[in-house]
This record gives sequence, structure tokens and C-alpha cells, in this order.
Amino acid sequence: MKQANAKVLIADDEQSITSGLSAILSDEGYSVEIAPDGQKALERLSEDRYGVVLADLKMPKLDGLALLRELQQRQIPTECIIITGQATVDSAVQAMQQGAYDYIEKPLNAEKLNRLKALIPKAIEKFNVQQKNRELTSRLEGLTHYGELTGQSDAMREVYQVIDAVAPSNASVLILGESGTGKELVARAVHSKSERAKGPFFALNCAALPKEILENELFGHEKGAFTGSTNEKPGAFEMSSGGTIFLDEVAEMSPDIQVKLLRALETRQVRRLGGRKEITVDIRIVAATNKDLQKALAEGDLREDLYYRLAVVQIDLPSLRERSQDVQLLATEFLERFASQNGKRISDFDTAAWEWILSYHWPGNVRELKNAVERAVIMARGDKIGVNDIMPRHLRNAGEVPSSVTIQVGATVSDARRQLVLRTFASTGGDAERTAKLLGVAADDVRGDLLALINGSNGDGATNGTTPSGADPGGKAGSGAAKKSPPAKKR
Amino acid sequence: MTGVTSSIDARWLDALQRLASRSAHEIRGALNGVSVNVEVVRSRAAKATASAAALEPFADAASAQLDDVIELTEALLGLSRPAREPVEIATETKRVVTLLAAAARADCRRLHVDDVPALNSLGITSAPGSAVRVAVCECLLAAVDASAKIKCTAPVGASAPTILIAAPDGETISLPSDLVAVAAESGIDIQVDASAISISFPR
Repeated sequence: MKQANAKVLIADDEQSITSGLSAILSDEGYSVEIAPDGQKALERLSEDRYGVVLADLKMPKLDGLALLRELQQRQIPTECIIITGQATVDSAVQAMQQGAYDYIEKPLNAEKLNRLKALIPKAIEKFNVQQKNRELTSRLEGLTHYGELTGQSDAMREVYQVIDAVAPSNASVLILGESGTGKELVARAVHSKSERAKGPFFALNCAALPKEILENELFGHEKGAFTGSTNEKPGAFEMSSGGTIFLDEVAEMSPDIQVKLLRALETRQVRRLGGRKEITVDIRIVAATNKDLQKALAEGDLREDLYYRLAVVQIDLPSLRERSQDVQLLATEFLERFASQNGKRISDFDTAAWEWILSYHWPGNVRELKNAVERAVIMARGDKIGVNDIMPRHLRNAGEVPSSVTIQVGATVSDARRQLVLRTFASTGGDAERTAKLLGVAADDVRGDLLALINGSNGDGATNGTTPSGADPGGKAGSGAAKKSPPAKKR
Repeated sequence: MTGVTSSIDARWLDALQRLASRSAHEIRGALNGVSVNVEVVRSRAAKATASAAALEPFADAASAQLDDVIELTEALLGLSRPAREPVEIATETKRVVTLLAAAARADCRRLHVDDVPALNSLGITSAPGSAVRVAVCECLLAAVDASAKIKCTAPVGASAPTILIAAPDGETISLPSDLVAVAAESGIDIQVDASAISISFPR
């Protein structure tokens, strides 16, 4: 059971004890270090991993209890064994209640030392088990999350890989994606994974500001530059020097500001409005647009030279329907978040709500899904969200009828039927009876098809291998319905 | 027992309790050290491959810690017994200094006898033992509490046997308000001068 080479830290100011204790534990095969007070112990524990810390309750600067509190607040992983004099047993019990592994009373005679020798391997074993759990949790988290982005689809994994590759460089990045796909989150991830992470991140929406204000925001102005400019004001380039500027909807920028932006990118210098002085800036630009870039370039809305400056690396952010495997993950995460924020005990979506969520094509992307779930959480009365809670009123009343269903060549008849049922069901706002009427089949058949879809089978025991067209109108098949189905526990 | 002696005896018991409580941590610490170091020696000696070099530092440490325990315990036991009269000023003073100096070291403070031969030459006093102990102990307690550095000495050429307690860093030492009067009842003269106290004993 002995864990050779496991690290043990002795935090005690009494040298008469620490040197002997260190020798005893070293003889047992541990790698032992000594900190003469609680503060030094905390510093060591912050810098390195120790399986066990033996902390005296009475120490200068930071006593054993305060050390324990700090370890918990900072989430520093270690197991703490408190060493205490008889007079402070109450405090040791208190320490146990605060999460200490155990305590040993002084004097440290042969019996107590033997007890300590027996305790340490157990504490280290607990530390190792928890360490493995932490690593597993972190690895699982890494499978579904990347910075503030959520998604485990192949499309998102490609995005993460590009961010990983480009972040350490200084290259400008252009993010393309529909509204609501999370372009700013990608920009933040590029910033936070770069060496500029300690610098500022400045986000500006070029479409939201009138030309003059945008110019002022970007480049700043000198005192008296225009009527009412009573003070000088640094612009985004100056304020975020050393960091990253995120220019959203960059194709909406007026042509003359585009010229100034291009110049700033080329020379790394800016001039304030009304100013004569060139100011050198150290900036990285991450831009984004949801416009059709080819059209914008052809029509002159975006300068070609600026485009090439901005699009050193281009990141294509998929729409939610192109990564329908992530819908369930996102919906579940939003549900947990908003239920917690609103103090509601909502455990899940009901079956009909899941059917609708997974079949709807989410034109507003993640933002629309997020808002829908937030609204549903607020509106829900029970412990599960129903289809009427999650579906917007305008869809409930009118139904959003999809114009077509795309079926891949080679799809089976049952796959095609299921896609048709699913899309029609979505268009009726989750009304099985109406779906049946529209398709000319029995309502029970519709329900059977939907159930089979959720269960990931085609009704005859085979695994469903196609993507519902409503969830993937682009025809990026390959992600089976099994991946889209809510997990068994959810139903 | 007269009213004066019963009152000074009670006061001495109170002071002794404070001394014991301050030095208890040091005595326990040294005992813990002995225990741990003996255990190192014992467990290493049990191994066939144990070398003298691996044992010696811990045996030495245990021995030194045992000396500390003996010194502290002897001082405490000596002060717990009634003082032998006529009272030897140096003996009583050194016992108090031993106990207080150990406790002071733990708080990164320093109390030491500056001139041991001069202290030893003070001889005996006719003042009652409890009164001598109360005067020395309370003055030193007040001094150690006031300053991080305390020097205890015996000025040569004084008209009566005298101990001088000084804070070299200039910190002001304040005594318990009634101590001077209580000591005077036994013929002990205590003079306070901001950062120094002198205690003169009757011959």
C-alpha cells in the first residue's frame, strides 16, 4: 500500500520535530519537504503537487486551520493531516469538519508515529483516486467544451483545432458564420489562448455604430477635433494595445474607415481624429462577418485588400443545423444553467419537447436555442419542459413549414419516411394528429416513427444511420440519429 | 503567615502559573523532538545496513533537546518549591530568565542575561523569597511583553544588590500599577524609567 516517492509536505515551525519527522518519512520512501510556516506551505502547495500535507495547527503567519481554508478556496488538491497539541483537539475536530483527512495529537511518540505512518499511505491513495477523477472530469470537459464554446461535433472540433493552431501567432483571423453561431466566443478563445491573454480584449460591432462614432471608437480623438470634443480620447487601437480587437460585422464598415483600418493593420500605427501624431500600437485583429463574402467583395462592400489582410486565417463557424449533434448537449447545458439562475427545479425536457428541439432547424443558431431554453425555463410550471414551453408562439400558431426535405441518394425508404415524418411534425409545432393528417397516415404510425427515431432504431431493430433533414438541410450526413437522440435517462 | 506574606505568596502563585503556561509549549516541543528523534534512531538502528552517520545527527538532536527539557523542567521545579532563605538573587533570577527566554524565542523575541558574573556576584537578600520572585518575574514579564529585545544585568558599584532590566530598542515598559508598592512592603525598591527597570534588594 506504500506509495514510494509520493510527495509529503511538513508545515511546522518547530525544527526540533520537522527534521526528525522528515527523516522518518523519507525512510518510508516518501519525498519530503518542509515549510517553516503556513504561508510558505501555501506557496509550495500552489507551485507543486503534494499528496499529503502534515500541518501543525499553531504556526506563524498562517495557522493550520487558515491553511486548510486557503487550500479549499483555491481548490489546491492535497490531503491535509493536522498535527496538534492536546490543548487544541477541538480545533483539530473543527479541521476535520472543514475537510482535513485526519489529525494526530502530540506528543509524537512511537505509537503516534506508527499511526501517522499508517495514515499517510491511505491519504495518498485518496489523493491519487481524486486526482484521477479530476483528470477524468477535465478530459470529459475537454471533449465537450473549448473555452466558452460548447460542442463535440466534428465541425466544432475542426474549429477548435484551427483556434489552437492560430492563437499563438499574431496573424489576423476572420471568422465567418451565421448570426448567433458564437463568433465572439471564438474571438475570445483566440485571445485567451494567445500570449496576449493578459492584455485587453476589445469588442466592437461595426454594424451597430454610425460611421462617425465607429471611427471615433476605433481611432479616438484629440481635444477640439470636433464640436463638443472637450477632452482627448484614446481609441480601441490604443486601449487594447498588447491585446486583441474583435471587429464584428466588419463588412458593414464604411469604405473610408476600411481604408483607415487597412492602413492601421499595415503600419501598426494609428492617428487620432484631429491628431497629427502617429501612435504605434501592438494589436491583433480578429474580425467577423455573417455576410456572403464573395458578394460583399464583388459589390465593393468589403475592400479586397482589407479582406486579404484580415483573412490571414479564416475560421468557418458552422451553423447549428450543420452540427446538429451538439443540439442536445447545448440544450441540456442551457437548461441546467437557466434553471439554476432562476432557482427552478427543472430536470429535463419531455419527450415531445426533445422531438421538437432535435427536429427544428434553428435558423437563429445557438443564440436562438439559448433564448428558447431560457424562455422555456421561465415559463415552465412542472419539473419538465414541454413542447409548448420551448416552441415560440409564432411557430405554435402558424407552424414553420419547411419547403423541402433533402434525402441522400442511397437512403433507405424507412429513413426517408422518418425524415418526412420528423420535418412535418416539426412544421406542425409538434402536433402528431395534424402530422398524420398531412401525411395521410395514422397518428399511431407517426408516434411510432418518432419514438423509433428517439430510440435510435428504425423500428425493426436496425440502427438509424441518417440525419433528419430538418436538422441537417445541408445534407452533411454521417451523424446518426442515435447521436441526436436524448439519452435514455432523459426520457 | 502574616497578611503581607499571604498576599505576596498568592501573587507569586499567579505569576508562577503564567510562567508555566508560557514555557509549557517549549517543554512539550522539546519532548516531541526527543520522541521523534529517538524514533528515527530506533527505526534506523533496527536496519542491518544502518550506519553511525545516519544515526548520529538524530541522537545528537535528541540529546540536545533532552538537555533543553531538563533545563526548563529544573527551572520550573525550582520555582515551584519554596525559596530557600536567605534568598540567592542570581539563582531565582536565572530560573525566571530560563523559562521566559525559551518562550520568548518561540515568538522571535530575545531575553538574555548580559553579565552573568555580575549577576552571580549579587549574593543574598533578606527579602522574602516570594517577594523576590514576584518582583523579578513580573518585571521581566512586563519587559518581554513590551519589547522584542531585553537585557538583564547587574550594575557594578550599586549601593544595594541591583538588577537592571533594559529594552535596548527604547520600547516603554509598563509595570502592573501596584507592583512597586507591593515590593516596597518587603523592602524591594523598583524604579521605572521608560525603557529600563531597576530592582534593588535589601541586604
